[in-house]
Amino acid sequence: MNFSLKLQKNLIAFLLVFIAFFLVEGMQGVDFSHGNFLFLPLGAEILAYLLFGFRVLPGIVIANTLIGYFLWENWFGNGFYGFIGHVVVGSLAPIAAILTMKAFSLSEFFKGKELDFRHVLFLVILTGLFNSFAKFFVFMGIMGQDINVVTFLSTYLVGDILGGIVFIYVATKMAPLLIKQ
Amino acid sequence: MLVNIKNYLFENIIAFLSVFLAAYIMVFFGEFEVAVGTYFYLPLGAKILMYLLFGFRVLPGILTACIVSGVVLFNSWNGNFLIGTMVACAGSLAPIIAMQTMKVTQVCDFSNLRNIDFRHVLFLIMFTSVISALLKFFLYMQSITMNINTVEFIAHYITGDILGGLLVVYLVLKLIVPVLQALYQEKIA
Repeated sequence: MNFSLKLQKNLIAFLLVFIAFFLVEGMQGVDFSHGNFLFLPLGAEILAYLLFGFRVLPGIVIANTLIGYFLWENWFGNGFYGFIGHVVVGSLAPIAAILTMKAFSLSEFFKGKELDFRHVLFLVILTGLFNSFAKFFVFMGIMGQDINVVTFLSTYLVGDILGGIVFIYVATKMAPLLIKQ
Repeated sequence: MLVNIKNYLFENIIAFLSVFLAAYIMVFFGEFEVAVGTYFYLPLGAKILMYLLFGFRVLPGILTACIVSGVVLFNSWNGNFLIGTMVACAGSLAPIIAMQTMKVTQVCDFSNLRNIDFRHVLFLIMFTSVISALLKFFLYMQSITMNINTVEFIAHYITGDILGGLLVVYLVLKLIVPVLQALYQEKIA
C-alpha cells in the first residue's frame, strides 16, 4: 500500500479518537476509578478499525498515549500501568472483538459497501465487555487499586457501550450529509 | 391442548433433570465455593443445551433446578438464600439474554437447530459465561456477609462457566448423541 495513503488513514484515525476524547473531556471528564457514561473514543476506535482496517493501530495508539500523558497527567499518576490499562487495552480491545467475531464466523460487518449497523451494534457490546473486563483486571489485579468495583465495572461497561453506539450512529448518519453539503 | 400441556411439562422435567444432574455431577467430582466458583461449572452447558433444544419455554424447569440444586447441593448458597435465589434467576436468564442479544443484532439465530453452526454455539457459551459472571458478581456484591475477592471471583466464574459449558456440550454432541443414534439404529435394524 502507498505510504502516504497509510499515513493519511492513520491521521484520520488519530483525529477521530482525539476529537472524541476532547468531546468526552468537555462533557463529564474522565477518572480511572469510574468510567464516563458516554465514552465516545471507543466508538471512534471501532469505526476507524472498521473503515481502514487494523493498519490504523499506530494512529490510535499515538492518540491514546498523547491524551493519557498530557491531558490526564501521566494517566492520573499511574504511569506505566496506566499506559497498559488505557493505551494497550483500549487500543487492542476493538481488534480482539473484531477478530473474535470473524473467528466464530459471526459477521463481516459490511453488506456490499454498506456498514451493517446491527452487527456493529453487537461488536460495540462485545468490545465494551472486553475493554471493561481487561481494564478491570489490569487496575484491580495488577495495580491493586482501592476502587469501588461495582461502580467501576458498571460505569465502564455502560459508558463504553453507550459511547460506542452514539459515536458510530452519529458518525455514520452525519458524515454522508456533511459530505453531500 | 392436553398434549401441549403434557409436552410442556415433559420438556420442563427433562430440563430440570439435566440441570440438576449437571450440578450434582459437578459437586460429586469437585467442590463448589460460592465466593470462588469452580473450574467446571457444568450446569451452564446443560442450560444452554436445553434452551437450544426446547426453546425458552423450559425456563421454569431450569429455574427450579437452579434453586433446588442451590438449596440441596450448595447448602443454600452458604446461608445466603435470598441472594442465592436471585443468582439462580440470573443464571437461568443469562443464556436467554445472550441468545436474544445475538438474535436482535442479527448475528445469529438459534431458533432453527438445523442451521446452527457449531462455532456459533461455542461463541454462545463464552458470551453467556461473561453475562452470567457479570450478573452473579453484581448480585453477590450486594451481600454484606460474603467476603469476595473480586478479581478471583470474576476470573474463576468466567473460566468455570466456559470450561464447564464446553465440556457438557462437547460430551453431549460428540459422545451421548452418537451412542443414542447407534442404539436406535440397531433397534430399527
